[in-house]
Amino acid sequence: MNAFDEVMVTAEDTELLFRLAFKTRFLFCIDGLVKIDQTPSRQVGLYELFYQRDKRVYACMEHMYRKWLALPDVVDVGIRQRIHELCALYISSGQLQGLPTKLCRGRS
Amino acid sequence: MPPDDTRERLRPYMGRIRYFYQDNHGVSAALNKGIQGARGKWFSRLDSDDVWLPTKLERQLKAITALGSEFGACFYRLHLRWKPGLLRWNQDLRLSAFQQAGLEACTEFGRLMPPLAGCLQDILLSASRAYSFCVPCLKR
Repeated sequence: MNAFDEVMVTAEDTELLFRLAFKTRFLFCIDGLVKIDQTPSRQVGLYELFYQRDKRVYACMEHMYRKWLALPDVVDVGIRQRIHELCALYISSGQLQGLPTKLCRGRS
Repeated sequence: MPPDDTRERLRPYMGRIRYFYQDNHGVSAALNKGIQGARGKWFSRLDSDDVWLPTKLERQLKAITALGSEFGACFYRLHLRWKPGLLRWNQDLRLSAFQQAGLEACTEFGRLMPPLAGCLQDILLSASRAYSFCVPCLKR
């Protein structure tokens, strides 16, 4: 299994976890175990990419959804439909930001 | 890796840790480099804007080993510092869905992302951030 997708500048963990979900089960600890600094003025982190509507975010998300739709594991019609919807939403959001229109194609 | 003083800061721990350096090719490439160099059974990432609470790894390891090999990854709740001095729980960013779903399979994963255009960035970011995780090293 390939690890983190090196094409992606953000959401690389989401992309991997989706693929991993077909291989294993996940456990969730209800306890808070980590603090994340998302203060706007902080010096490190990629959080601002989302709020700045950086075009790399849109490109990453579209790449991710297309990749998921191409996975042989993704056969559930409901999941495929949801991915298509999310992909379309991201593309339309990108259009609102003046980014080029792309069609999200894949098996449905 | 960013051009910072990481190497110097880690110097006191050399011998207990192994430090890998590569030119900046992005976060995924850095993570993959770490995975490729890993010798242990477990993998966990610590982003530059995150702080692990003291018992984080201990509690994750205890929980996941108690449940057996059927479970391959362990997630956790997190605090978000989004204004100076203020911490809030992650349910504000709709992560309570994780707890309700149990994160057991891809169907639950799909359920995390309601098609709400206005909130899309937040939801995806939440999913991404919550996925700081502890998994058996992927290469093994």
